[in-house]
Amino acid sequence: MYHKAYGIIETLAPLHVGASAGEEMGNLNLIFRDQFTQTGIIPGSSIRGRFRADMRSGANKGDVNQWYGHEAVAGQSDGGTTEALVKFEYASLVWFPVFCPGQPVVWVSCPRLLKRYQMIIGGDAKIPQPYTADNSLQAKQFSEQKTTRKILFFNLGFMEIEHTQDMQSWIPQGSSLQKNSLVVVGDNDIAMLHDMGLYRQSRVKLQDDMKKVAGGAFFNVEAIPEGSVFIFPVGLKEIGWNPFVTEAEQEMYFGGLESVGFGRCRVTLAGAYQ
Amino acid sequence: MPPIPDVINKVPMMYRAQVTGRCQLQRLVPKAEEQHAQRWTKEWTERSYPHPPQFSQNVQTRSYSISWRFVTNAGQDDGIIRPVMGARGWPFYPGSSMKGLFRSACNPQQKARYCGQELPGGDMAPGILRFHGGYPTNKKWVEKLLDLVHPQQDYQVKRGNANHSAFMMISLYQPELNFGISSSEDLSPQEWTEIWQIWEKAMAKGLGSRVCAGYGHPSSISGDELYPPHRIHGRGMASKTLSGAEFRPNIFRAAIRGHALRIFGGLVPAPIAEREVDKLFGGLGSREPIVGLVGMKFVADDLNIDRHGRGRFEVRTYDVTGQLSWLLTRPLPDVQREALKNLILRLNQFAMILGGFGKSWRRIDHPFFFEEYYNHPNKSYIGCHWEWIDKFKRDVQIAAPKHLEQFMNNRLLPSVKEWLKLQGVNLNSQYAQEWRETWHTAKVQVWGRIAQNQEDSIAVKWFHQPYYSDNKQGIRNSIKGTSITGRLGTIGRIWHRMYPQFKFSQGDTPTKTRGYVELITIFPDQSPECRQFLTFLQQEQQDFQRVWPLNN
Repeated sequence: MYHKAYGIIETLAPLHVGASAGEEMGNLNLIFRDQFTQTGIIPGSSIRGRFRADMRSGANKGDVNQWYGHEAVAGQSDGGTTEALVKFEYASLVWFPVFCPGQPVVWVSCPRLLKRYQMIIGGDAKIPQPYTADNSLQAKQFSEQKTTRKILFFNLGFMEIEHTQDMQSWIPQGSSLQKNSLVVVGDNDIAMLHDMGLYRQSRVKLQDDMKKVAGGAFFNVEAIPEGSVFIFPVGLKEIGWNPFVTEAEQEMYFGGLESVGFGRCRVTLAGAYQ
Repeated sequence: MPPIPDVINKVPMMYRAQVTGRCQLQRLVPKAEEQHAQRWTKEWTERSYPHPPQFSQNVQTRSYSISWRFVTNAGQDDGIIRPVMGARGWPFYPGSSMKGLFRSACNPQQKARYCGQELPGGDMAPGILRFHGGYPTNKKWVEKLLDLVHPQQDYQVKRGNANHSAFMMISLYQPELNFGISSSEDLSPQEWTEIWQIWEKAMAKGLGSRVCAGYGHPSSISGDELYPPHRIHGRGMASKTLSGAEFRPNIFRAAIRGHALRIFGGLVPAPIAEREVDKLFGGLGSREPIVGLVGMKFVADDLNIDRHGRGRFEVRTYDVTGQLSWLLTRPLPDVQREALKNLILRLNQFAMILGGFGKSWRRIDHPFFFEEYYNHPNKSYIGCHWEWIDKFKRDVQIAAPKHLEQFMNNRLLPSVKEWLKLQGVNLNSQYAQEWRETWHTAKVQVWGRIAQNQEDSIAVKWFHQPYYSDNKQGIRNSIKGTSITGRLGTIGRIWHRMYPQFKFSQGDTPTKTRGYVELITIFPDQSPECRQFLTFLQQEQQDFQRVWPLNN
C-alpha cells in the first residue's frame, strides 16, 4: 500500500524539458509532450533527478540511498541496488497561460488534463465541460449582440464561452491563479492553444569580440511559459520523506537552459508524505 | 456558435498575415486614421498584465534606467523589429542575451566560473550563474512604443531624388529595467559586488539592438568613451512620432555620419568613402553587414518639449541640454584609437560649426535669430541652434571667420587623411563628383562674417526676400524658393549658421561674447540663380568674406 502524495509545480520562468533528438525538427528544439493531448510534460525522471540531487546537496541532507534507492556497486550480488521508497510520475499540465492581444491573459485546460488532476488529488467533483469559464471572466465583448456573449480569440479562431461555473475548486493548492481567468476548452483544442501559448525564442551566437552573428547559425527553442501549473503524483512506501524540511514549498529548477534563467519553478507538496 | 459580424476584422493584428489589407506593421500609410502598427501595439498593451513579473527572493536583482529607447528584436515577425514578449505579454530582455553580454565582459577566469567552460574531450562544465533576464519595473513601458525610423543619408548627401521613406519599429521609451541573476552556489556579498560590476561593464556597451544609434544605453554607466563627452545645448523642432513628438538622440549620429560621408567623399571616390563610413558607423556592406567601430550615447539632463506656432503651423519643439558621448565598440590599437579620437572630435566640431542636428539643421533658428519673421502669423518654425557648454577650449575652435580655414586645413582634414591612411586608403586626387554635397574645393564654398549680436544676421533675410533689388530698374535678385535654398520636398544647397563667438585670451577659458560668426556654406549647382548669387557674394557685397577654400 502506497502513501499518496503529489506535487504542484508553478513555473516562474520559461521551462524547457527537451524532447529526445529524434523528435527535434530542423533547428527548433522542441519540448517533451504528452502523447494524447500534445501538451508539455515534465518526465518523472527529471523530477526524481532534481529531488534526489537537491537532497544530496541541499539543506535537508537526508538518506539519499534510502529514499531514492542505492546505486549499483561493483562486486555485490545484484549490484547491491535497493528499491526507492519514493516514486514519481510525470507532471502534466493543469493550467496553461495564453496571451492574446486585446483580451485578458487566460489560463486554459481541458477535461482530460483536469481528469488526471482530479485522479491525483482525489475527490469526485464533476469535470467542467468544454467551453466553461467562471462567471467572473472578462472576455471580449461584441456589443452588436443582444446577449452578452463571452468570446475569446485563440489561434484556432473565435471561441465562445458556453457554460459558466465557479472555478475556485479547480485552483491547485500553492498556485497563484485567479478563478476569473480560467477557461476549460475541448480535448481536441488544447494542443493548438498550447502551441499558441508556448514561449519561443530565436537564438544566435555572437562573435566574441564583435556584436555580429558568428557563422550565421541560429536555433530556436520552445518552452512552457511562466505561470503554467503542473501536477505530478508521488507514491511513498513509507512516510517521513521530507525534502523541504519544514516548508511545504520550495523553488526548484527543472529542465535545461538553467543558466539563461529557464526552469525556475515553485514546487508545493501535498498529501501524505511526512 | 452564432456568427460574429465582420469577424475577419476582429482578428488581433498579431495573428494576421503580413499582406496588404490585413496587416503591414512596418508600413507608414500617410494620413491613415490608424496605422496597423498603432493598432497592433494597442491590442498588445491594453490587456497585458498590470504588474511586472517578479523574480523570487533567491534571485539578486538590480534596476537600471535606459537613457532613451531600447529594443531587443524578437525575430518573430518579418519586416519589423519588435521586442521579445515575456510572461503575460510583458516585454522582456532574455536571459540568453544577458548571459551573452555578461560573458563578453568577463576575463577568462570569470568566464569559466560564471558562464561555464569547455572541458577536454568537448564536454561542457556549466557556470554557476543563472541569468534571468530583465523586465520593465512599471507599466510605463506601454507608452511611446512606436518608433519611426527615417533613413535619409542618400537623400541628403548623394542624390536629391533618393528614396527616403520612413518605416516603423517598436521599441521601449526610457524604460527602467530590473535584471535578475542567481547562483547555484552561495556567494559572498563581495563576490556579488564583483558580479554586478561585470554586468555594469557589459551594459556600458549598450543593451539589445541598435546600440550604435544610441539605443539601449543605461543612463548612469559609461562605456569605452573615445574622449570625455561633449556637453551641448540645443533647440529646434522635435521629431514627429505617431504618439506625438520626441527628441531623438540619433540625430547626432546621423549628422556626424553624413558629414563623414561628405568629407570622405571630397578625398576619395564614392565607393571607398561609403565603405570607410560603414566601417566607422556600421552598415549593410556590399557582401555582409559591417559592425561599426563607433557607438553613440546621449544622456539628456534637461529636456523640455514645447510648442511653437498656431493652427496648422504648430510644431512641437525641444530645448535640450545633455552629454554626447562617442564610444568604441571594440578594442583598437593605440595609434588607430588616437586617430579615431581626433577624427570623431573634429567631425563633432565640424557639425557644430557649420551645421546643426535634427530637423531643419541647414538653417539658423528663426524664433531665436529672426523674431520679426513671426510678426506675421502662419509662419513655420525654421532652423535649429546648438551651442557648446563647459569644455570650450576643446570644442570651440573658431572665434572668427579666419579660424575656419585653420580648422579645416590644420585640424579637420589632416585628421581625416590620417584616419584614411591608417585604413590603407590611397589618397589620390579623385573624389565623389556625382554627389550633391561633397566636401571638395571644387564643390563647396564657405563665406563668413562677424555678427554683432543675435539680431545681426544678414544672410537670414536672403532666404526670405531679394538679396538685391532696384525698384527703378525693376531688378529683384533672389534665391528664395530656388534650388539653392530649397523648397518643400527639395533640400537646399546652402547651410546658414550663427556660431557663437568666443573670446580667446592666453591661458584662460574662452568666454562667450554677444557676437556670432555668421557662416554660409554653399554647394553650387549650375542654375542661373546660383551663378548670380555667387557673383553677388564675390563682387557686390562687403559683409561676407570667402573663408574656405581660400586659394581656389
